[in-house]
Amino acid sequence: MIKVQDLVKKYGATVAVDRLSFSVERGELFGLLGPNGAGKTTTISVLSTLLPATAGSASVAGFDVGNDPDQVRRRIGVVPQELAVYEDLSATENLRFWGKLYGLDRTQLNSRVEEMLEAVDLAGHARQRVSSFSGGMKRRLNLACGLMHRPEVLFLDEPTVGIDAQARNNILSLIRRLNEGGLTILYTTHYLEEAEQLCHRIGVIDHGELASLGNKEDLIRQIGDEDSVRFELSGDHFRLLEALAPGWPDVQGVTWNRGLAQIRCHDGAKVIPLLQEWLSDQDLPLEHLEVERPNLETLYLNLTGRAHRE
Amino acid sequence: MNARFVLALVGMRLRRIVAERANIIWLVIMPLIFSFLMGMLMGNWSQPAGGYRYTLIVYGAAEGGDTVQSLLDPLREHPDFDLVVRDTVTTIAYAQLLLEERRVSGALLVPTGYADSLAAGHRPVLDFYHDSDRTSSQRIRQAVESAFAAASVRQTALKLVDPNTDEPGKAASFYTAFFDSLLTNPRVRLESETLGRSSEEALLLLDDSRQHSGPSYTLMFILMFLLMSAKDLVLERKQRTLDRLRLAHPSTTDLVAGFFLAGMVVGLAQAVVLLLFNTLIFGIDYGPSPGCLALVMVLFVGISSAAGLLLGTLSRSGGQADGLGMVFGLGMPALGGLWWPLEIVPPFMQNIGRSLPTGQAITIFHDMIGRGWGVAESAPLLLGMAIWLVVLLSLAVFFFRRTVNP
Amino acid sequence: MMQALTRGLGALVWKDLLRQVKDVKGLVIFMMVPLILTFIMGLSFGGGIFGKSGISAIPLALSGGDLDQGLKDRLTQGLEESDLFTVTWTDSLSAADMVTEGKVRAALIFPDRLLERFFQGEDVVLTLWKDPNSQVGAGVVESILVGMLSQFQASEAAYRALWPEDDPSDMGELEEPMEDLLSGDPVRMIQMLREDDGTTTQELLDHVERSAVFAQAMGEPALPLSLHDRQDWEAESGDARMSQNLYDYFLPSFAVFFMMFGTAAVVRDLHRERESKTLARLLCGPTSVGAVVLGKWVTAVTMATLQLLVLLIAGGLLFGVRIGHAPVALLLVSLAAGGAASSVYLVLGLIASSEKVMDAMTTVFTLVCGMLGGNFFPLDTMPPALSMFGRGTFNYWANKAFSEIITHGKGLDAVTLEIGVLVLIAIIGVTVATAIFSIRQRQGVAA
Repeated sequence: MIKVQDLVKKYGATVAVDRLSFSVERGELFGLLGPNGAGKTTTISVLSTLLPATAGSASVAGFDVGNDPDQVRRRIGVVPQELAVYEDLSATENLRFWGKLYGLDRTQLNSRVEEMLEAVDLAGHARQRVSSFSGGMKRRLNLACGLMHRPEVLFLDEPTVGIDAQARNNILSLIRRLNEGGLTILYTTHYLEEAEQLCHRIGVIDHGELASLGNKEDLIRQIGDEDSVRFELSGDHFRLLEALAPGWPDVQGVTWNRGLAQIRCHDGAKVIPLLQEWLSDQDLPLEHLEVERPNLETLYLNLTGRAHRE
Repeated sequence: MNARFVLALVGMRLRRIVAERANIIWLVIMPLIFSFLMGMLMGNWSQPAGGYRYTLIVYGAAEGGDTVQSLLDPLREHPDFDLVVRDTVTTIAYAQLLLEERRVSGALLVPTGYADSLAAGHRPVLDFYHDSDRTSSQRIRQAVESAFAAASVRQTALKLVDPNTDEPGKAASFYTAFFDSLLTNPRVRLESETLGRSSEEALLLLDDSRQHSGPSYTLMFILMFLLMSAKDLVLERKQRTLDRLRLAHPSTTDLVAGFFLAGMVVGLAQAVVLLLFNTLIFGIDYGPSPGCLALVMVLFVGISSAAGLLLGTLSRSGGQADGLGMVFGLGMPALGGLWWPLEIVPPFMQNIGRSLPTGQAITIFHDMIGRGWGVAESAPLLLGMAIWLVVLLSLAVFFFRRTVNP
Repeated sequence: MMQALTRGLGALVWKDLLRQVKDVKGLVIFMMVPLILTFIMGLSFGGGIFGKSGISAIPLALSGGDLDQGLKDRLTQGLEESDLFTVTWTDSLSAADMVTEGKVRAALIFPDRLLERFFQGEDVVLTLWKDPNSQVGAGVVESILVGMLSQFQASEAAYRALWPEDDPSDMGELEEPMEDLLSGDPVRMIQMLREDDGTTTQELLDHVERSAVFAQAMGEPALPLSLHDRQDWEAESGDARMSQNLYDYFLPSFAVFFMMFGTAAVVRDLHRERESKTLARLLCGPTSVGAVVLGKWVTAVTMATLQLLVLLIAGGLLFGVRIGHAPVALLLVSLAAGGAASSVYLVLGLIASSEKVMDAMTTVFTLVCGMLGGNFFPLDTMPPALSMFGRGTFNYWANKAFSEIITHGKGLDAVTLEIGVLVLIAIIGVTVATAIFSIRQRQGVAA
């Protein structure tokens, strides 16, 4: 449904998207995960025909975004990061407007408005002005506006920014249901857990480039299946451990950096008792022990090189 | 009062105003454009603006003979309009069309055989077409009527000449040169003088309308800017920065003083710049009392700042503040005689105008410029302005307290 | 192509109009501010239900201590009958104070022994002191007095040119009878002359006779001048007008001026939509760029026309401004003016990079065009160079059209040129706006 090939988008000398390539199959929920400024919104803007690409190609629902933008626009729904709703109108008026714009006739409009209001749980607030809504309600309305015309592909640009956990869960459930109904979704986020929960496949993007692509297991496999056991140890004592630890079962390596020793092993659970015993023999305490298993956050941090919540 | 807090608040407000580059348009550029263009448009009160010359056209001059020529002589070198003379006659419809299309401001039609008819002792009629809706046409009409009066009197007098009779009421001859000299130097004449400051004292002629438009638009734009700044206070409430200010220091007096004084500083700076520009570029002379000038500007700026503060306190949204700011920012100048002189409106409107600070301020300006008055003579109006300032500021403080301490 | 251009247009217009209508406070201000200001102007200049207006009751001081009371009364009556003056008699010192203090606009000072001097052939100088702060009122006084005096001066010059032997210095004996005559008692004057004890000279009697013949001749001017005012010949052609005053000109021109501000406010919504990202959302949808531009334009035209009509109707009802004789013409001019204004401001809005920049640009543009286009002053009072620029503004054509209909009572056929020009401006403006927006959209900077 979505094919992106060597997509480039530049703003003057700044490269916002740098030879990005990926595809999204029909019915798939694809996540584009990356920190702020990674190029997620720019990618969506190009795919939704808002911005022209500098180079490369992209097609949505079989139509090239550069050559057939009208055809693309008819088939997509966009839920922008900002709350692109008319706050001086009511929820119903907003939905009716977007429905009319997409050519729904009166009968279709009435039933679809009711349907969407129910789906996003705003039926009880249909006639209220949007300016009186909470943040979560506005987000739900924002989503509903993008769905009025039953698009084939939905672009969701960080749809849960700035709302509480419960509201987020509601929206994520709704998105899941939409996808289960067959809707192809491109979902951008910088929240790791959202990508983990929702997406069939995830593309990790940073500095406009695709750093990694695959389902969750594939991605984790990229960083290997090693556990890391870390603890405090002086340099002198590390020299003793360094000579001993490689002989322990499944230990892959031992490193030390500024008072922190790290043992990479296949199974940390087996190494820890051995470590405790050695420390006891040395009359040393086991302090600040951490055991890290391979996960998406590790991959993310490794790939993007910074904390995932800025 | 915490002077340091107040000064910090004033500084912050000023930085925000200066940072907004568009403000320079409202603060300086628009008032100067307005003063200049309106002064040029209004021109000298008693003469057409900017040396513009209108046209009086005469058709059929060849039919008029010496009589019409003598009628036209005083009109040829008139300072207000050009005289275009056509020997051929034309139709009434064409003359009307020329006026309707504004191609001329007056049309005098001499009918065929006019001179012959006069010589035969008849009283043929000359037709003058004009448009009383247009100032230019009114001026031309006055000039034509005046020229006609003299010519008609002369012509009438000529009829009384009959050297062959002793009848009372008949004269032996008409002494044209004597008539012309008496007309030029009449025995009964009117001498007019404008009292107040003489033209020699003032840098600019006192009847130059820029003496009005300069101060008027200075006052208007000071008032408008400070009223339109009311929405900044509304935004501070909505963005909760006002709450943050309150947390920094509990005294509402300090807050009010900070906002009020910030408005004073902006208004006074604007006033100094504009009044200076008016003098240097337009030659406007504010009279011999700098003390009175300073006092009226301080009071007016204070009133404007207090009004802006009150408006910002009472308004519930930026849009409301904007709208009400426009109503008062345009309405008070209109009522107070900043747009047109109060003397041309009905007496009850003049009373309303002079009770408003805008009317009081511009009247003081006129008195300073035209009469050379100072603080003593303008004291009643200055007191009126001071009362406005006290009332507005008191209301602003009262409502501000209620807003921040509901 | 038309379908592509207008797809979604109805929805866009409906949405924008609904938003305008729902913004009750904004709507009130949109209408109320101009209504209030035109109401103030109406009170200042208009008539209608608030009665006559215009310059009237100019306070005037007269000083002529030794003038006969009867003469003073006749002078007062003559001046006040015109409704132009309210007269106060006082001494010259007080008159000077009244002028310098602004209590009167002018003071006319008759010299002492006026009649004695006149009939003894001395020069007589009347002094007019003008209030420096009253150039309008004082100017009116001066022009009226100059007009009256010029008639008298011409008559005296003609009399003396006919009978130079009638030396004014020999007229001293006429002083008392003339006072009676001027005081409204000619009977007493004639009685005095008849009861004369023989000292009245033949010369004096001849002078009186000649004066009588002269006065009779002057009553029928030899060169009649017929004045034809445009409003009279328009009235003759059936375009009778109600009371004519400055407000008839200023109401429509200020209505156009406020319409300009109002239109700019409506068009500003384009930037608000850009900032709230609803514009981006629109551009991702099936509506064309042309439809988005047209949608804003139609909304602005609707609001502008509504505002104009409300102001004109209010002016007609409250102040007697003539609007009922050519409703179709008025409506078409309002529509055309709204169309032209909307398209011009749409172009400005699209050129501006943000709402704040647009605010500043449109305000300056409105004020300068208002001045040049004749919204503040009748166009014929402007210098030629400025009025040439004025003709390049759209509001000039709107003002002209309204002036023809309201002030001069014309109909549709008289304003076809003005409507045509306004429509042309509207078409060009919308085309340019659409082109700008299309280019920006292709560059990806429209939203």
